[in-house]
Amino acid sequence: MAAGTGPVIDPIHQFEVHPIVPLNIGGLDLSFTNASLFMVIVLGVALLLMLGGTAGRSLIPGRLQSMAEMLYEFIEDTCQSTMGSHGRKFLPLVFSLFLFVLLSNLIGLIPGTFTVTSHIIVTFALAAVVILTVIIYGIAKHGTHFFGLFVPSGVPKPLLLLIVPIEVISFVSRPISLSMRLFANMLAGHIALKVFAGFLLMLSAAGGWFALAPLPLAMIVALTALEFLVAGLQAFVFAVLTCIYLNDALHPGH
Amino acid sequence: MAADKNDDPVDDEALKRRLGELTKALDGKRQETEETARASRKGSNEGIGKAMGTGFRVASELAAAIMVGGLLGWQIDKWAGTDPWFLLVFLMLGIVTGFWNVYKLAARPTGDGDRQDKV
Repeated sequence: MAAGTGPVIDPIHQFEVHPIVPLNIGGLDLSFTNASLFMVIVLGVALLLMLGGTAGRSLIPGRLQSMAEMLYEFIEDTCQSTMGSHGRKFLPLVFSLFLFVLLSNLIGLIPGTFTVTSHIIVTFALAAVVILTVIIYGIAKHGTHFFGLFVPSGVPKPLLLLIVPIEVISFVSRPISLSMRLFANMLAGHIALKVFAGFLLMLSAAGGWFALAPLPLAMIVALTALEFLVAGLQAFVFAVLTCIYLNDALHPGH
Repeated sequence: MAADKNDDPVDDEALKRRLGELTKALDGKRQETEETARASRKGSNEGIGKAMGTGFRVASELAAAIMVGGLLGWQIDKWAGTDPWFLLVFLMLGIVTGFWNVYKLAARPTGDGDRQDKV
């Protein structure tokens, strides 16, 4: 928790990316960093969870199996209710994204770890995958009809001059809002935790003020509980919005 | 129980009918309880979690649309050399878009499937 020991308590320190195995190929910095390490860890945990969960296939599921089944059914339910039965082909994508985000968020809550989703480039990459899928699939499936997304039907011609730019901005802002929300939540939560941990340290070092030290400690406990809620919630919101956006690729004609 | 075989056929018929009715009633009851259980499970999930999710969505939709509008206008201005005008127009459009998105979010019930099939 208290990485910023010594006189300076730096709440941003936890987000620093530093190379573990420096690697430089053709002028590109491809070092294996702590971010890469934690992505590998997240993938490993996801693999273990799903492989271990589906290995037994017992009728009465054990802990691991029921966890895997619950996650799967939850996402399948969400997919089904947002996209209908046509959306089944996107279930693997949505489930992978959900599991990656969820596990990154949860693993990042372990003190001393690195939160992959607290970097906007990671969340933006995830959002870009979603939006590129929407665009490529939409154009491949519907051709120019896909651009009907920007032209709502039943709107009088003069008003289209105003509506079309609005719809375009709305579409462009989707990956931004998708990635920004996840990144901002994780970043803010971790900084808040670190700041209160800093208060705790400063108070306990400040002689008579030591008596007040339990207050920030209680705050840290409460914030940690909130962060667990946010971690699950953000993964869920990410999955739901992915479904909604993919639904546009499936049925662009409003 | 063992005496069932010796019963006369009329009673047997009646018993079978009764069994059928009971099975049907039981099935109905089971479905009902399952549905209510599912509904209540959903209801509890949709409490604070759903509300927070919607809140975060509203905030980020608004901010993102304004940001995108402003950036688009700024970039067009840089390309075209028409200093503040496109920025102003697109910033306005971005703000409109942000509020329009929030309105679309708020105007229909959240969480159900066909929220995107209109507009």
